[in-house]
Amino acid sequence: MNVLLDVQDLKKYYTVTSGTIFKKQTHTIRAVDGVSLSLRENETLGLVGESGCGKSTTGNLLIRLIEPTDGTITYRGTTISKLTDTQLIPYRKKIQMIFQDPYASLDPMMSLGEIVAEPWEIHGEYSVQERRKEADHLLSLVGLEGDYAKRYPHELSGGQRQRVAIARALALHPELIIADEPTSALDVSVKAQIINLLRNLRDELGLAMIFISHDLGVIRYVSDRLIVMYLGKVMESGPTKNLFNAPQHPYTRALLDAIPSPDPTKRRPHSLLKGEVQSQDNLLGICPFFPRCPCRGPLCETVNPPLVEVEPGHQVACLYPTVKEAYSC
Amino acid sequence: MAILLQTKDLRVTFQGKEGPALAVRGIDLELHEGESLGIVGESGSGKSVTSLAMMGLLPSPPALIQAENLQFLNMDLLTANRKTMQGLRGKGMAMIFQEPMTSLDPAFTVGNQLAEPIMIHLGLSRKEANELSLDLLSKVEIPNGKSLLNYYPHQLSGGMRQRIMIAMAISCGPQLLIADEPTTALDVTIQAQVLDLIVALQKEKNMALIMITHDMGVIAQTSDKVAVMYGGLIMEYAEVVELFKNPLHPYTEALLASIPRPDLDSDKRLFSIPGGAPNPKDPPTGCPFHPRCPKADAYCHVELPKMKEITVGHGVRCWRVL
Repeated sequence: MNVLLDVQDLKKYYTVTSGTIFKKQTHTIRAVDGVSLSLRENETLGLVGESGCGKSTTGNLLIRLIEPTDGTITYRGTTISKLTDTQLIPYRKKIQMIFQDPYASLDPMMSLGEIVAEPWEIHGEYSVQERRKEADHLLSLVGLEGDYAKRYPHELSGGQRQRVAIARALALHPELIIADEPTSALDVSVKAQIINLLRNLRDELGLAMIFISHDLGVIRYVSDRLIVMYLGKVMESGPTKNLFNAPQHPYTRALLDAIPSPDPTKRRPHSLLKGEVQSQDNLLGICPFFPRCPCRGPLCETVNPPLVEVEPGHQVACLYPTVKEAYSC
Repeated sequence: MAILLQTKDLRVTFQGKEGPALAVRGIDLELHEGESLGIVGESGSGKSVTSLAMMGLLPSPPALIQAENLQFLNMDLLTANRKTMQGLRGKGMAMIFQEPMTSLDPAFTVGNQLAEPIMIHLGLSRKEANELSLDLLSKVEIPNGKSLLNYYPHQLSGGMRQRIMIAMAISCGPQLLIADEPTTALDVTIQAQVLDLIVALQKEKNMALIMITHDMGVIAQTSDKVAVMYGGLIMEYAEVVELFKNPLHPYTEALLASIPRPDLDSDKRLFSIPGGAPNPKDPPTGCPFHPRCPKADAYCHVELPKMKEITVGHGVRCWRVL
């Protein structure tokens, strides 16, 4: 299958100034630090990691909602990371986004019909009459049948709002959807509805998808391949099944171990991962996961481990990758 | 073991301009000393309101709290005055809330906020309270507690703030700890640590625990007994292993089936419950779950099913379970 999106060495650095004018200090936060990925047509890629690992920043960089510090983004052979805003417009139609909080991402002053039709207005598609008809069609596609076009966001539940956000993302017939935590704000039973809807639409419309989430349980149901990020870097990437069945990086294993198992007979003795995500300050040139790693070795403090292929399509950035049981590193 | 908390037919109604909202529609609970109860349900099921009513934290009006019996040890919480309730909160029962950013005061240091309940409830001096605070911080596994006492909440991570909340909650040695979605705002790795901590403290201090959550996984990891709530009612209750092995209510079955589990086959579609939660201002007639229930028949629309104990300690509110 054709490669849709190819990203090489993507970086986003923020400079933060602190202190008074006399003792001014600048300080670089490497939010995304050399992420490379590629996505084929009809493929779903999951981006997973804790808060602050740079997964949402990566998503925003891919559609250039924020400008990358360095790196190239290539879409179907065109390098879109260097295009001007006007040149970018056709690609914005091809890549659409769904955000986490459907309470914040829908304009409360617009009816659902207007929300869904706005992309057509901006890109000058369809006549006014056609837009009404198409908006109804689109809303029924996401399971909102009836007179929903006339309603307003406040009349809807969280799950229904997220359906509207999905309909809006589909309006311009995109090829790639970037979904940033689309189910995190939803209740359990509604979460399952939205995951199934996304899966069905993806299969019916032949979409590629980048699914960003901190919930490994959810991500497993939608992604073909997975990228595990930590402090702006890729720790492990590979087919979802391999990562779940035989995780190689200690961080991937810790993430899997942390999911509370819905089986009261299998209680976790204690959590594998101690401590919290740290500041990157003292981590230049060493493995970013070193301070929290339960399996660290003597060399981890001397080099930043590169991504190494351990089997075809499965890469790990760890000097001591293992497939052993979680507690015996 | 002695009964710590008992509610019989607890009802909470909010009086609004558009008419009353029936948030809790009759809850019977019994919690023994040192026992851990999980209350599971979706948003709007009434699980938080139930716990706030027990704590006496619902402003009245608009809340109207009615019950046949609402008792903590031998104290009647329905008739207790403000002063008695104040004495009870902190010492008798304490609560941890979901969002540690909003439940800590941004204008006071951590040390200040930790010392306040200790000084009020235990009557210690500032100096003694500070010493106890340091002790508490090491209990919740915060290293270098001393420097942390001078920090403000915004300088701390979500996990740290939740640990401080836990330290505050256990500071006066409560017999009951109510944790209302304590890990929902946290990362999965931090969630694991905070849950470990709560369970360890509960065992060590022999506290009773009410864990309120929408996550069946959290229930499975922390609770002895479970109550499943929907539409302001308990639909099913049982011992935790029994409930997961042998769920009787269609809602419980559906909840368990819709968990995206990491250990099951991901090629299959996830089970999902159609529709959304009922409106407390206009609850459906009969069983509140009937509009979404795959097994509902005509009678489910008519009359609200009664709680029936099927086996000892396992009760269900459903017409279809005989």
